[in-house]
Formats: sequence, structure tokens, C-alpha cells
Amino acid sequence: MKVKILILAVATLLFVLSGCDASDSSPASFTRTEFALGTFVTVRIDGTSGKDANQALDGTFARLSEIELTASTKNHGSELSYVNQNAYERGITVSEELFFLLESGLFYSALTDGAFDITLGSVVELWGIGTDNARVPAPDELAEALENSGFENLLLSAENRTVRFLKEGLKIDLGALAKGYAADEMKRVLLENGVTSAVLNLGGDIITIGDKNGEDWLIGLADPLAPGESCAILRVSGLAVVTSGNYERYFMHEGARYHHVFDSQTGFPAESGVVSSTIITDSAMIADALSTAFFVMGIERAVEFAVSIPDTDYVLIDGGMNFMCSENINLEIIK
Amino acid sequence: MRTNVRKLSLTALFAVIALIIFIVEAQIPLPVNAPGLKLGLANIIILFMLFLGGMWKTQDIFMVFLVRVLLAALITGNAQALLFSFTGGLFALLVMLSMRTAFKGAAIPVVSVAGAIAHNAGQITVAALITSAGVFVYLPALVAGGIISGLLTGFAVYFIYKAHPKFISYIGGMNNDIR
Amino acid sequence: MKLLSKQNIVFFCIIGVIFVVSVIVWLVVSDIQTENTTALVYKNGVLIETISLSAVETEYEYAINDDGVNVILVKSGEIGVISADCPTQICVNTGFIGSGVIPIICIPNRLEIRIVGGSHELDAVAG
Repeated sequence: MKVKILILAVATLLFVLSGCDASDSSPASFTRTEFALGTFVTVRIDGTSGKDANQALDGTFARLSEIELTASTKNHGSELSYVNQNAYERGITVSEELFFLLESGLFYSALTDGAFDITLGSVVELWGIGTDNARVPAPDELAEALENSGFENLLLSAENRTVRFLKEGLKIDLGALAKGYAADEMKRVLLENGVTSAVLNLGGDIITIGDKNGEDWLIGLADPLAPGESCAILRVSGLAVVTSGNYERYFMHEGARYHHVFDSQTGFPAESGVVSSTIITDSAMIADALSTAFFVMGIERAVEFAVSIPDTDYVLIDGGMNFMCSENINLEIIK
Repeated sequence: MRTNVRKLSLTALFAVIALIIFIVEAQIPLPVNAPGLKLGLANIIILFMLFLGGMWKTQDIFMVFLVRVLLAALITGNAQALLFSFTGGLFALLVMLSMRTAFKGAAIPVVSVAGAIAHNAGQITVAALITSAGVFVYLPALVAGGIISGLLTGFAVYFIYKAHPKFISYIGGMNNDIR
Repeated sequence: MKLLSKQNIVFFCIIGVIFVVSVIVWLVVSDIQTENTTALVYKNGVLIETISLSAVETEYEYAINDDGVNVILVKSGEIGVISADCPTQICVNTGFIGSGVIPIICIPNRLEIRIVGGSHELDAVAG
């Protein structure tokens, strides 16, 4: 009798446990957030089992940490910091990863005629926006920093992967490229892990994998006038959406607002009339660089420039909340 | 100045009792979850000292409060908890001291309730600074909780005073031994 | 010192009134309902996630690992912290919230989950 009860109990237990197993394998969504590259990074994976999702999440966040060690401007132990300190005295041989970033940065700096410029590091440092030491620099300081900038002063040699600065005060800032690059790389790791549906959010730089159960991902565009709210909805599948805005990081001084996207011509925060510039394309890195460039260019120049780059869509918003966007996108303005 | 041995040892004793109450209190689960909500039993000692009079001055109470808070932080090893108990305790102490000065005839439970509400208000202020002002929705719960715990501790001290007047006047510093 | 002096009776009455009022306010606040709810997840005071709870079909876990771990479970119409490494466990004990204004707070890990009305069912916000 006792044996029978025991068997019954074990059978019941097994039944209950197998029930748990069954629910585990049903399509679900897994999300993880960590802090990296100065922002919160959230990855959401849909349609896999918990075990696979966690493995993919581990892998993708490990990749993120690697990139942070290479390309962070703020981390004084990063490879980029080393280059910034030493590349004037002698040519520095860098890792493939950093070389790729510098090469891409230089390419887009030249392509956009300096509207996007990775050599504005000393200007960025001088203003200190986003740090506790934000201030409006004196004109002579700014002139000196600008004099030391300019992508023509950055020499790259693909042969032996060396970097050389032609100006002593030149500093590379990959702030408008590294996040996008990290997003692309994180996506690559997820794809390698068999993930077919995911959305990655690196502090407002979005990249998606596949779609959501057959439907487009719904990506909000931050409202420049009301932080935390959205002013429009984009529908995308598998694409990256990156926005540059004057509302993201700024400081106030004597009633004026100074944001963090600089014009390489003036050394001042760009005042082109654009308050929010969004690029929709395959690569988050390209979207990152171009959204900055479009922001600096202003609507007229940006729209003209956009004709020359294929497979890239944009949404520009001016101070009066007027939208200017390319034709192929699925945009719903909700404000 | 002559060191008053009795006062010194009593001060140490008070601090230790407060600490023990604090530790025991941490083990008591509360029916309502709210950031900053505590039973505040450790307040018993502060309240007790506040009404002693005699040789007990404000700075002695502050000393016991500080020792209790710092030792508790050392035991729990939690710097954030230190911030909470220090701010809460300080609010409570300041409010009770002003109650005591402004209303000479205020009963122990009344002063205690005021202190307990101040304690919880102080704690939620710290919580708001750490997170956001949204935590203030817990304020009514904390006020109600403060009233209950304040009455509890207040009447505890009140009954000690009522039941042992000679003992009280002895440690109050009237220099008359217990007869 | 008289417990039931005139002054103290006044004090006790005031205390009683404050108690009744705060209990009523608490009950009212706890009972506020919002429709089409959206959960806002704040970490270190920064809004990191906007989750439209009414749009959730399958429940999922959401782990936040940064200066402390909080594991959030998102269900249709509800959100809650199911485990955390904080000593107080207030966030876990608060349980699930889905409507109303009582937030989930984890002070040691500086996590806050707030519910607001209205939703656009977004998967992410670029900005």
C-alpha cells in the first residue's frame, strides 16, 4: 500500500514538473539591463526558451564590455585613451576593433564634410557637458581646441594599423559612433546565437532583429519638448533607429541652454534649427554617425545630402515641431 | 570638571539598551510595506532620557543617539541604513526636543507620537532624495504607522515612569539612593 | 505631568484626527485606478524602460543587473519584483502592481517602478 502511494506521489510530482517544463519552452520574452558606455543598455529577446535567451544575453553583454574597454573616452584605461595620450609623439598600432572604428569615423567625417567629426575630443572636453564641470569656455581656449581638431589631422595607415595625430592637442571622441557600433556588434552576437526576434536599446540608440510575432516593432521617437514622452511612432523590422537631439544632455548657463552636439566650424553646440534628428538604416553605427551629421547640417543641407546615401531614411524635427522625413518610412506622428 | 561615574555608566547603558532594541526591532516583520516605515522602538530610550531631567542634558541625549546609530551601522554594515536611521532619528529628536520646550505639560505619548511621525517623515525624505519624489505617496501610511508606534513607545515609557518613580528619580540624578 | 490634562486631551484629539485623515487618504490613494497602464522603470533616477502593461501577452522576466540585482516579472496588466539582492526586500514584498499610484521602490538598488495611465504600446523609444 505504502509503495503504491509512493509511486502515485512520484508520478504526480513528475507530472507537475513536466508541466513546468512545457511552459518554459513556450514563446516568451526575456529582458536584461546593464549599465555600459555611460548609459543603460537593455536587450529584449522574444520567442526562445529561457536557457537559450540567457546564453545569448550573456554573450551579447560580454561583447559590450569588450567594446567599452576599447572605445570609451571616459574610461581612462581604455585603448582609445591611450591613443589620445600618445598618438602625437609616435604612430600607435591599435587593435583591429579600434582601427575599424577610427577608419569608419574618418570615413563619415570626410563624407559629411566635418558635420560629423570624431576629432572634436578637445572641444567636447573643454565644454564638459554631461560632467559636473560643464561650462562655457573662453574664446581663446575654444579657438585653440578648434585649431587642434579637424579630421585632416588624423592619419591612419591600414598596412600596419597605426594611428598618428598631426596636432598635439588632437583628441578622438567616439561618443557618436561607439554606441552604434556596440549595438551592431551586440546584434551580431545575438544572431550567432540563433536569436530571431529582439530589440536592443543602448540609451536611446535602438536596433532590432526580425519582427515581433510577424508585426513590426513599434519604436517611439522621444518628444524634444517633453522628455520621457514620445511624439511619433516608427514601425521597423530588423533596422536600427538612432536619434540625436538637443534635449538629451545639456547644461544651463545664464538662461541659455548648451547641448552636447558640437559644430566643428564654431566649436559651439550646433544651432542648425534641428532639435531632433533620427536615422533609420541597417547599421546602428552608420545611423549614429549620420544622425549627428544631419543634426549639425540643418534641414536644408541634410535633405540634399540624404539623396547621395542609399537605403537610409531620416526624420528631422525643427524647433516648431515641424517634421521633415524621407518617403519610405512608416511614421505616425502622435503630437 | 569631575567625571560623574554613575552618569557615564548610565549613558553607556542607555546606548547599549537602545542598540539591543534596535537589533531586536529589525527582526520584527511589519504588516505594511513602505519605504522608511519602522516600528521605532529604539526611540524608547531617547524618549525615556528626554523626560528624566536632573543631570541629563540635551547633549547627553544626542550622545546616546549618535552612539546608537553609529554602532547599529557598524553591526549591520550598511552605510545607506546609517543615512536613514541618522536622518530619521535626528528629525525625531529635534521635534521631540521642541515639543518638550514649547509644551511643558505635554504627556510622554504625545511627544512620542510627534517624534515617531517626524522619524518617518525624515526617512521618507531620504528615500525621496535617493529615488524620486514619487515615494511621498507613502506619506499617509507612514504618518498613520508613526502614530501607532508612537503611542506604543510613548505609553511604554509612560508606564515605566508611573510604576517606578523612585527608580526614575534615582537615575534622574537626584543623588538619593534607592530605598 | 498629568496624562489627561486639558492640553493633552487636545493633543490626543489632534492625533486622532490626523490618524483618521491619513488612513482615509491612504485608502483613497491605494484605490486610485488607471486605465491602459504603462509601467515606468527608473534606475538611479533615470527612466530606463517604458512597458505597456496592457499590451503584454506572455509574461516575461526582466533582470536589472547594475549595483544590485532586481528581477522583475512582467505580466499582462501587472508588474512586480520577484527577487532582489537587497537586504530589506520591500520591493519584493510590495508584490505586483498594475493600476494605481503606489510605486514599487527598492531603495538600496535605487530602483523605482511607477504606473501611469495611457499607452502607445511601444517596444522602445529612440532619443
